Amino acid sequence: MPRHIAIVEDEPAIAENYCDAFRRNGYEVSHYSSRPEALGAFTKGLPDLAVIDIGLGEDVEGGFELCRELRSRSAELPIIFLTARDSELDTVSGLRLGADDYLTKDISQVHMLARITALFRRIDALREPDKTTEQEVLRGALRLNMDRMCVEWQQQVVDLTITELWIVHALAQHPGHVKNRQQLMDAANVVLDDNTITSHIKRIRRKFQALDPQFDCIQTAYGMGYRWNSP
Amino acid sequence: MGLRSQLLLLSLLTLALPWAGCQTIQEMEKALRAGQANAFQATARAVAARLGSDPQSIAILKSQQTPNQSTPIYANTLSAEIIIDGYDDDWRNYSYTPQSLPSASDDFHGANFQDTDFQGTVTGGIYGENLFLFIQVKDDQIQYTTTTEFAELNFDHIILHTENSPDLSPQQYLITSGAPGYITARHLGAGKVEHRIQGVWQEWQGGYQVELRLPMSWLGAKLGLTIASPEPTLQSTTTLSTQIAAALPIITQQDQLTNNIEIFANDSSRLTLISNQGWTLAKAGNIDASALSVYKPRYLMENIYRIALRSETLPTLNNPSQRGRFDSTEAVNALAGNEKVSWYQYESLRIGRGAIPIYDHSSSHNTADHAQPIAAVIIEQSTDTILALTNSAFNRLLLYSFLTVGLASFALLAYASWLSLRIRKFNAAAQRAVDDNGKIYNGFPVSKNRDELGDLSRSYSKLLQRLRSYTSYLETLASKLSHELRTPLAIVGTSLDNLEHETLSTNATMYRDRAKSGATRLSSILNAMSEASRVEQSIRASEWETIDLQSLLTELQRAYTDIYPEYSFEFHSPSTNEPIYIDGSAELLAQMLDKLVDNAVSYSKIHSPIRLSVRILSKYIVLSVENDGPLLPENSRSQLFDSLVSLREKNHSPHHHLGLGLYIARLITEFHQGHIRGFNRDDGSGVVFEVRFPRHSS
Repeated sequence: MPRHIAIVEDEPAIAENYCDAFRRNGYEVSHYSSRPEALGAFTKGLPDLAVIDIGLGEDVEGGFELCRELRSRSAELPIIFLTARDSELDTVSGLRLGADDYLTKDISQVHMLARITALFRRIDALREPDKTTEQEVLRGALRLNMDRMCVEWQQQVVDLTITELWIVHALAQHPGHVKNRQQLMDAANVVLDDNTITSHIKRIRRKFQALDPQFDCIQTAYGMGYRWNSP
Repeated sequence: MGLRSQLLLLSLLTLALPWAGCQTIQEMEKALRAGQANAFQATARAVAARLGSDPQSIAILKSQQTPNQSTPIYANTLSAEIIIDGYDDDWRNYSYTPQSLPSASDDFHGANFQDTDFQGTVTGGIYGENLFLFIQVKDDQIQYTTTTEFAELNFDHIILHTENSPDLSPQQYLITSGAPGYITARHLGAGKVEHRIQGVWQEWQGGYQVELRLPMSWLGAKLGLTIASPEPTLQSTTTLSTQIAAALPIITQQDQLTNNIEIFANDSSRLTLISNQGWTLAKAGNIDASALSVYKPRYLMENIYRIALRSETLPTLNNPSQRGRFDSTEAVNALAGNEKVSWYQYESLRIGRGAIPIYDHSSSHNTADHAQPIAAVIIEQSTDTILALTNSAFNRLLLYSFLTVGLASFALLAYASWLSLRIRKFNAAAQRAVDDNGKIYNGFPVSKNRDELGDLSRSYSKLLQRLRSYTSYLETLASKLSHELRTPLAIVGTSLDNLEHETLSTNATMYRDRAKSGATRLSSILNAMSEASRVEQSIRASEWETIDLQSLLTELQRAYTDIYPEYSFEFHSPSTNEPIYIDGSAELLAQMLDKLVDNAVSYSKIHSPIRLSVRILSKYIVLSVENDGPLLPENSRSQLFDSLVSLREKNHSPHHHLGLGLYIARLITEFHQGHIRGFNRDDGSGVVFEVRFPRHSS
């Protein structure tokens, strides 16, 4: 059965483009232009994945409300936030609404699809927990499961977004190697500038340090990039 | 010129005050003098009226009247008996001026005949009951008489004219001498020797002199004098005489009149009665300079007064008490019937002299023509009291005006100082408000005063506020723009993405590819534009820590050498081992250096060195990035660190230079409370960017 993706976006051109792209890849897509419309549909049935635009028309909080609504109904439903302003990324992700990723609207189709694929793969992995051919990366206290797209540090789950997870994976895969920002961007399936990578790294560090204040495995190599330093 | 000097100059205008005061004092002095003149003229008029209506005085005055061109003999008052010896020793004790006798010759040589070789003077004096005469004659040829025959008078002789016979007819007495010695006086006519006339004839260098004694009781009131010298060549006698063959009243001081006027005189004034020819008839009162001068100013002050008050230098008082005759303008005017006042300087005093004519009021009032004055009253008074008054007024004026000028100047100076202090504070605040890079600081002090300076301060503060908001608007313009553009760009991007999955003709594919690359470029531009606001965000979110610049820069130098292999990087620091600590965010500093190095790389030639260095100063640590290459333009130094400004010639551009690199560097520097500036090297070979941080306090 094809997966059902719901897009809540008030800008018709962008929405249509995404719809076409998703349909081309074999997904079923529903498009809603406003919060009430989406809520009405969600009460009838939840989609498999939701892509929500934060600034829905006049309603600035609309996207957040929808997210909360969906999360209250399903803890695992993948939600991706879209925003036109990259300045909001930090603020929005700080709100800890439980979305799986925060993206800017100018993200390319390829990158968007990569995320969707990864998210669906995670759901499948969660539904079939006893598959043994899971790819895991173990580095000291780090345990990275690429199928389930989950990260554990000292046996505790670290709540990372997809983008952040890919970054950590890129670093931890070759510990000690310096990855420059461009490489990290490629790994994270995103086109950003240096500063946004820096903020991602900061956020990653903070999330790890919330569980373990001594966390220091991600080191800055000034002028070059970052590296994973396993103690 | 500062405000203070300007106002001080203005305060000099207050010097007009003492000047005005001096003018006032001058006017006052003139007025006072005029008043005084009126007063003493009034006294003199009273005297003149008194005498003019007293028949006794009138009689005396009339008896002393002499015709206008005549030369009556003036008998001065002597204080002791004169010894008749023909010499003028006794006369020298007095400084009476001799009267010279005019020529009386009426022969055909003409009225203008003047023989300077023949001159005669006479001096008269009264003592006791005798009239003494001293006659000096200048004559180059003295001819004594040898005979007793007096038919023809061919010798030097003197004739006395009198009116002392019982019937008052004129009499003449001949005075001759055969040789120096006693003279002989004979009545001309009767031929009798007159023994009552005593005298001695002496010779002197220029001629001869005769001293005579005549008893007043025998002589009467009139006397005339003729001096004759024979001229053999002319066969006539040249004569000098008081009046041709006539006797004139002997003018002498009259006690009666003196008594009359003495009641009018007082300590500070002097009255003199003069006859119709100006001879002193009576004197009363005294003006003694030394006794009267109550006010003796010091020499310096006196000079100041004179200069300040521009007092006139008065003519010196001629004191006719010696000559017995008044011929000053007042006297002349009074005797002509006009009243006049003049002012004179007499030693240290100023004297005012007025003259009033005396008319005969006892005659009938119905005389048609204005009667001639029979005599005149002269009054002299010192203005000492006025002088004292004006000087004290001047003193006070000086004091008050100095006080006022001083106060005014001081007040103006104080006010100017206060004003200039306010303006200087305003100026300092204005200068502090904007720094070299054009950044506008908060905290401009706004004055609450209501005056013009306060208005200026308030409008300046408003100006700064508007500028600040406009500048911040401009600074965020780039990121605002990029925000707005993102959505349309997303539309383009996603549409093009979809287009990739459609089958297209070759041409269409080519166009699509071009569109795609254009969109990508646009996207990267937008990213660069909003980079600045992202930096601001990350600055706000960054953590403060202590950083060792030494290790940071060493690491960075290695990194840059890897990243930009075509350039060489040097790192200079005071010592290679000791850490150099500052407070800040290592990531931000690294980012800043990335920007500066990126800047340096894009403006310098391949293989040219780029130098990073650290210097430690007393209060600051200075980080600099230098490169060889084109110089910064001179006058846009302040714009260098503004966003979207790119000023130098670029030789290649690895990626889009929106001119944000230096702006970001500035943001990071300011976050670290530092200061960044860019300047050209002195030798013009390249550019240096310098960042100054305050030193870590520990």
